[in-house]
Amino acid sequence: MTSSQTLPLDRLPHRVKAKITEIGSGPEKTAELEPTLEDLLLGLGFEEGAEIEVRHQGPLGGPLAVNVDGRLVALRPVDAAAVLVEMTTSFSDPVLGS
Amino acid sequence: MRADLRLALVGNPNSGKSSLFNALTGNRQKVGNYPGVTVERRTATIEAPDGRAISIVDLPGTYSLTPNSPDEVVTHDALVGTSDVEQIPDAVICVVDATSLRLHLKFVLELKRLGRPILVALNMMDLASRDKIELDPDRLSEELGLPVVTTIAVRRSGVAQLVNMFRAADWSELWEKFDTKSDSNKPNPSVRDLQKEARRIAEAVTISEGIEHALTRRIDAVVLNPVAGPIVLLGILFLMFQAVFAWAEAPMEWIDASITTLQQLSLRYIPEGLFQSLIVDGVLAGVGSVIIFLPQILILFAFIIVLEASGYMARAAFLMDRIMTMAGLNGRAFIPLLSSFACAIPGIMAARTIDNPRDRLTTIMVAPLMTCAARLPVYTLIIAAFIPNSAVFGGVGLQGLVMFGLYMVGIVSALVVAAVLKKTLTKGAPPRLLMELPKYQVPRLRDLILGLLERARLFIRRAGTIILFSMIVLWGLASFPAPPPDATEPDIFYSAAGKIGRALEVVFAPIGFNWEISVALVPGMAAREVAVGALGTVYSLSGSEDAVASSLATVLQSAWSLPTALAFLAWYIFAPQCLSTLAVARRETNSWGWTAFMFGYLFALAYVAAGATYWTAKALL
Repeated sequence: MTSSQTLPLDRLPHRVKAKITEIGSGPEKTAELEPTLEDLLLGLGFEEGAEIEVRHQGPLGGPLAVNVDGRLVALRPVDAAAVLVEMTTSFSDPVLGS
Repeated sequence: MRADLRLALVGNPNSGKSSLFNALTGNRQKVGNYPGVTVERRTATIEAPDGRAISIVDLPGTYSLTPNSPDEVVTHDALVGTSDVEQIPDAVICVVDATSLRLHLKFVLELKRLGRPILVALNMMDLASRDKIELDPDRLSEELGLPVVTTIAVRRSGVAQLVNMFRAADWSELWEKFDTKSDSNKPNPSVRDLQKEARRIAEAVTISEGIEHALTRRIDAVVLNPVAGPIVLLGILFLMFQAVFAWAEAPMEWIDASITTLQQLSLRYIPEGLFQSLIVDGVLAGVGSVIIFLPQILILFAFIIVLEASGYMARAAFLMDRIMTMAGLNGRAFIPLLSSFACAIPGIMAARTIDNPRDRLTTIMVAPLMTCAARLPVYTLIIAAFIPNSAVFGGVGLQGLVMFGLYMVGIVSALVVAAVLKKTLTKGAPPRLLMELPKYQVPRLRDLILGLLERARLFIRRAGTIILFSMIVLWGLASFPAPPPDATEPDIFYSAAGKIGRALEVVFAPIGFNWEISVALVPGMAAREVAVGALGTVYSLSGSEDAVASSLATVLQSAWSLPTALAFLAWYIFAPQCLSTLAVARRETNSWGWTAFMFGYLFALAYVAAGATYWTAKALL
């Protein structure tokens, strides 16, 4: 089952497979040596077309642990909002995926 | 030493670069898989089989050549030749994680643009086969136009093959086959173009995609669970501190017994006089009371090494992020702070991985509040002497509980101080958290043993140098000048140390410290654990012959009141750190002002906390 709905990563339900459609640039740089959010995301393997799935969230509304093409990455929901995704399936096995 | 060939080791964090450097050079460093464990400059010179001298520099791990953090600036400058420290390398060895090929290839493609010879080390082939990933190294070499060697650095596999390539004949033959000059003339591609190309190559060389590491997923289902995760973390930390007490008990008794035996032998065989006193009261009592804590320090380090090497450390940072954010720090500060439990020096240096300068400064400032291993001797001594070894709450030892409490006070104070700093002196936008959570690995026993041996060596060397030296100086100060013939007080009272102590007592008496403690605090600045040795020296000199034979804890029980003992513990939660920590803080912040601030605020906190503890305890007991 395929859906073409696009939504920000922080709103993607947990354990639902999706594909990255767009990586926004995030807020402006605040310091000379500070990388932009986009640089950091690209560096960690976020890219258009990559498979993505939210696996966990830290306690008290903490960071998200997302699986991007087989690699587990932690990021805060506020930063995850810059990543737009499109759901590819509506459900997945809670333990081992498909 | 002049090198015939200069190589630089580069790669993404977590690519196993440090392990490969270890395997190549035999230089033991800590092997962890937290992103960015390599922050120091590491170099070594090895010999190729034909006798050529090969110098290798291990550059900080980086995800790209864009110099975005201090670590990446180092690597970038060294590779493009703008570094003040590094000469341009003749060739670059790029370490690539076989389990995460696509991402790492992007970096290789970026490196290729420099037009320098690159050797690709396709590392972690064991993890790749564990995850059923099958790759074609020859095809990779063909696609990249670069030589490729497969390695399993942690098992030193493929390393001999790599070293053989450094032979003059093989080396020139290799670069006849691969021409790397051509790429540098092409226009700069965008990051997304590089990613597209990396993806294409990764797909072309992957024979079998592999399965996700199922065990990592199962463990994470518990460990990263918002409810179970923090419980597991707290449980691990609690187990760690109970273990430091319970497991170390027996070896500590052996060491104590050996020292006592040595002292008795010295009393019997060395003629009575100054030299006997130097050996028994200065060297053995002083150094002995520090060496005794070796088992505890090793147990603490064993936990930290295993947590880091297994991949759990990054998870701890993930779980702690929310709490750290409340203090204005980010989860990434958790690793430097956790390392500071072992020693503030590696902790302060690990803060280099924090890219935000304000955040890094805040982390450095509060790192000494984490209870370092050198404070353990002080805590252990006082707890053993003054806290009954009884069980409360069904089997939990009261002594372990007090120790846990001391650590907790340190942690809470660090968070409070950080929060205050972030609101005042290091104001700024909240920093980001973006990091990889590496796959779990069973830590290798060999790495654990090597790590522990290095710690033990460092500790014993400290005991044999700084601590021994302080002990001898202190013994001298405590022995001279000799007391007058009509002395009514113990000998040390009349000595130079006694005079210094009594002068300092004016400052410390209001918080319940006697002059013996005041004397001990001075050499405690050289290294914290010296305070215990110093107390040993002060009391064995000021007491009777029996005091030498009986343990320091027993002596203190009769010499100190409980409020004084508790105030001493409180003092050491905050105690101004040792000289080496101040030196590192000065180097890392590059500011005398911040170093002075660190010393000043810690002294103030220690004084107030010890005073408050003393007067509260006095009122209640």
